[in-house]
Amino acid sequence: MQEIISFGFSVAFQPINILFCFLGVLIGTLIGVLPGLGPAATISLLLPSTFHMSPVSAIIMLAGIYYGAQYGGSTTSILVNVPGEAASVVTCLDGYQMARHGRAGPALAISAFGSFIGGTLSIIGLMLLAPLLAKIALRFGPPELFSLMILGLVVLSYLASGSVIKAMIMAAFGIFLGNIGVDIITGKPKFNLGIITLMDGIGLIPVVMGLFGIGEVLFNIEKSEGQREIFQKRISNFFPNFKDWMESLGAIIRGTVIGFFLGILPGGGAAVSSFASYAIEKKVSKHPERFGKGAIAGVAGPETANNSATGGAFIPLLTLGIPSNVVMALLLGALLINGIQPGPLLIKEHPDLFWGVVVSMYLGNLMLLILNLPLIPIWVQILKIPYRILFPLILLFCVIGVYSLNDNVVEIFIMLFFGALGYLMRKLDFEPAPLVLALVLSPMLENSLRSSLLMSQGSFLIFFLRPISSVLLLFAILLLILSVIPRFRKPIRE
Amino acid sequence: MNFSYFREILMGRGVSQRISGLLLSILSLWICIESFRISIGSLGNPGPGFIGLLSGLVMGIFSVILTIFPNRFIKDSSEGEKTIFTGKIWKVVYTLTALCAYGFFMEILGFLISTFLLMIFLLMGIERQKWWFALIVSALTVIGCYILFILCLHISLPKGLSFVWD
Repeated sequence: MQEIISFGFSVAFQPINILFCFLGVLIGTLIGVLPGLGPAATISLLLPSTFHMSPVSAIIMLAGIYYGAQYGGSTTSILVNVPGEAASVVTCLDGYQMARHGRAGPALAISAFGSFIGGTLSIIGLMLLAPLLAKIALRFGPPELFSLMILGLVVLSYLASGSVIKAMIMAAFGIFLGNIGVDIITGKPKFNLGIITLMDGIGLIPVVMGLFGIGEVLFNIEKSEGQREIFQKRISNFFPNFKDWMESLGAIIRGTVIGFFLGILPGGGAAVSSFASYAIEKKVSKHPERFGKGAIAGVAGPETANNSATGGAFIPLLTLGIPSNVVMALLLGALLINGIQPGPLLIKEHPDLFWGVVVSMYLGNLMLLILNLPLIPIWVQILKIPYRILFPLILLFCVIGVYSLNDNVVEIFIMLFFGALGYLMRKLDFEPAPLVLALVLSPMLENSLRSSLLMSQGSFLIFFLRPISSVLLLFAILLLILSVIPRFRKPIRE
Repeated sequence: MNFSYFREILMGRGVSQRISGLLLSILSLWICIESFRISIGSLGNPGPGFIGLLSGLVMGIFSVILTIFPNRFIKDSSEGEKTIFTGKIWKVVYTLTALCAYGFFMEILGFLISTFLLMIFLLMGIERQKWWFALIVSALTVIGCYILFILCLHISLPKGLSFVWD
């Protein structure tokens, strides 16, 4: 183990990789601070620029953007009461209240320390669990893969903040969208409406940029910008006192565990982990009435959980080749573009990539802890840039990003279509995450389903006769029943 | 028998949810028909349309449920009254139209000229900024994009009428 970690250090500490790690965490923190552009859209935007890099440097930078954004999102939640991105929504509830009571410093500090602890411990979990899971994954056949992907989609829908039924509709729609193109076995065009560009399928990047970039901007420009109440007082006392630490310690430990395991689960992720952590902290607290009024555990737990989830999220991607959330789906795309097939053999065939990325995450978390607090005055200045200046730039970068993929104007129109769709989805409370995850999983889902049915000569029982597959599928069915049936029994309110 | 379900439908609550459910139901019907057209194969040898049919069926079933019972799956019943039309929807429509025009003209006029025009429109037309402010920001944006995307990142962007980097 020691030799392996030394090898990882030798890869991560190459000057070029240190530079890309730093760039990644800096960009990640910046987009975490700025509302309107999350890690998914940013990674999509920067993906084409990674074509000229080595795979290791590319993944180190893109991973840095992902976990860096979790740090940055808390700053704007605490100081402005506006979440920088989805995983920092719950931090607004207590973080901003702490700032209003003159405790912005401890809130920011505990958020940074909690993020560091959660991020670091989850990386240790990644190091220990990933090789083990890779061995188990070798026993996964098509039925197990199919069941795991179905479970992931059901979990994501179940944990949706809106309606489960709508999330399931989006997941099914995403599977259909992923099917557009040419059939891999027969070569027949499928659902492409005669459009030549669609013969290659609908690209992930135009969809993500459309839904999360363009759609988000359209939704925001429709609202009045209003006055952003930025916490103006001088921030002091950055170090939490003994009482703060005692109140936060349990939350940090629980947040680490919750975030890590929810991050592993396909369909989980940083946002889901933060919500779950907040709910649990409120439940276990001796003073639940303090939540929403400036309880430090309400900041420590979710911020720890969302960073811990980033480490856990890498496990299914690197060991099974299955992305657990939208950002991982983009990283999967980055790996495939570089000719690397993630899966059980990744650690064996590309040890420099795996161990280099793991060690770089330690380094990145350390950089973020050191940089985050001193850079807060800069982030406050950036937050003062009016959205009416920012949004044209975001739109422009999205168009450039999509065009640069294949020099194809049709993909810009595809992105704009999904932008309009994303806008309508926001208005009507349809979640985009199940759609995107299903879009990415669709080709693998189809292959595993068809292979399984070929193996069983048409019998669906194969999914229930194999132990791992049956457990996964039964859990998915149980979740589905639990999510739907109680809502049918709810009486209509007058 | 509880007639409140039918009363809910007739009262027209959650109209926008119902319309979205109906449109999704029609889409899922099209998906199923198309799946049969490209061949679903058999259970023992699934064809190219097989997974499309399954996704269409799942989507269709849930869409029909959403159409008939929109408020049963919304956490807050007041969301049933939500309308998607607000006073500033013109900003959304104009922005989308401008982006479509940008995409259309980018290869004709070139990246630099079309970007400049887009920024002017968004700043002056959508956000009603002063002309001199829009001019300065647009010019700076074009210069910044040229340096970042073309000189630094070597991204291939259409030249069109702009011969700046020939």
